[in-house]
Amino acid sequence: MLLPPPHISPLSETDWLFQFHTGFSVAANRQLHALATMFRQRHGSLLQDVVVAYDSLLLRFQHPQLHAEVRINESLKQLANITLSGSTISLIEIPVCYDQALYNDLSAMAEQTNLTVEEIIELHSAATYHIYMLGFLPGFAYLGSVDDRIALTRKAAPVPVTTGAVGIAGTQTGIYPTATPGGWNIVGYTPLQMFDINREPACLLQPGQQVRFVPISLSEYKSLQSS
Amino acid sequence: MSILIEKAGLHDTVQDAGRYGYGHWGVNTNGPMDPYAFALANALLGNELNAPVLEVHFPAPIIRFQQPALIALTGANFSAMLDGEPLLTNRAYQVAAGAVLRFAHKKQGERCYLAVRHGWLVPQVMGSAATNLKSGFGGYQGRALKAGDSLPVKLYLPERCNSKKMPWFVPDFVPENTTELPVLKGPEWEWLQEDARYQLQRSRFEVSRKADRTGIHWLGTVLQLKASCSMVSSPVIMGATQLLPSGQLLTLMADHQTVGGYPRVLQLCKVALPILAQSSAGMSFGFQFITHAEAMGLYEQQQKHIRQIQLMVRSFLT
Repeated sequence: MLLPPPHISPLSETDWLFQFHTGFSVAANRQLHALATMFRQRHGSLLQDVVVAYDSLLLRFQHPQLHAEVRINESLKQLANITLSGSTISLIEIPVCYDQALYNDLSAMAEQTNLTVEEIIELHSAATYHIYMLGFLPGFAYLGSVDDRIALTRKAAPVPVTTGAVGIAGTQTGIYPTATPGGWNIVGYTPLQMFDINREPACLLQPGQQVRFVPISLSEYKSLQSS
Repeated sequence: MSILIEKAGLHDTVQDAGRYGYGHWGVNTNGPMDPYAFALANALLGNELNAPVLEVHFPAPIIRFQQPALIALTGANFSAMLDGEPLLTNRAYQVAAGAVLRFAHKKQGERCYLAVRHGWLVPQVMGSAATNLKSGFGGYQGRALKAGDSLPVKLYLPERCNSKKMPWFVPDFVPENTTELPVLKGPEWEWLQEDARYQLQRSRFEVSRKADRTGIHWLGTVLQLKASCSMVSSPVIMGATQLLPSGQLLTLMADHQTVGGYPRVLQLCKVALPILAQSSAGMSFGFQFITHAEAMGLYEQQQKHIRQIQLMVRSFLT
């Protein structure tokens, strides 16, 4: 599949935005990440940063840029010649403790969905998720798509959320890398550090990868957390 | 070799030009609220233009210099006093060991920059010295300064000149009493109803009290989108001005997130950011729509001005 021609807008003196309007398409998002990688490799010296969201790409140039259309069109042509094979996409397993001894929203979610807590856990951990992008906080990955039966909308107001909390908001699921106010429905906690500047790479999850949640017991969680 | 924070200010953080290159990990750029005053502080000392600088708000800290230093203050005027003697903004001073810097009262502006020759010595994290408060890294131990903190500086050997006040200075590049902010149309400009587009070009909008390093909320006419406009989260940058569900505007500032889900109806030009960063609640502005080429011209002119000052200062310093 090829990305459609983007809507191109100069966002600022030095920033150019390319919007593809493909929404939550995984295939299109994967191509966007490939395009971003291509830009970093080929135009790295001109660029300060390359940021990908669901269906848009931001090029942040070092210096003012009057025209960036040419560069993107060239790269899109080159991208057409690259085939992205599914076998090269890595799958990361994230252990999650769904035990209600740790504060979570599973009971409330069970009431809202007419499912049992076990069914919610089963639905959440059965799927393989695509990492569309990272944002909100350093290391916060937006994963999709959550089964429609447990795709609950976010809470009316944010509440304090602790590090490692795994949440659901609509068809998105994600892991809070740091404690913060948040509005997602919390289903469990991972003992893994999602973001740590004292290691390489600092960020555990990379955009474009796939993720699966593996249920673990409370004692496994505690022993992994202390290790 | 260091300076001592004797009393912490409201919100004092170490910032460099910002952390770039990690947007795909959701890492915020952070950096200064007033990029012009930040770079000018470095230029006035002949530093690299992205050297780490201290950004302070009012009430500002009390600082004791435990070694000689060459310093410059830019941005807001908080009536700085060095051992009781007033210091001018946009000017470089030699400071003797033991001297104490205080800020008496808020005269004008919201953010003041204190630079030292060669910059503050803080470790680089992911290529930058900017403070990321939310995730607690960068700058000085990933946090705002507290009383008792000791901020290291490079050894400074005083110039062979008797005066404390160095001979060079610059007048304020940003004219006072600016009432128009140059802007570009944002990517979702077309989503606005015709009346909203008219209001943005004709009305004035007021800086509200809800303003911090993450963003500045505006007060003004309620603006409306055309029906059935829904948005998928997309990258945002400093100066992006979003239309919130309330119909009011929010301009994203230095600590903004990497992506956002509200329509970006305006983009403040780079030369407008310093003006907004120094604006207090209650001030009002109109938006002056300019072309992309004009915006680049204004920005390049400002950049050139800073580089010229840096070169001039370097010719004085040995």
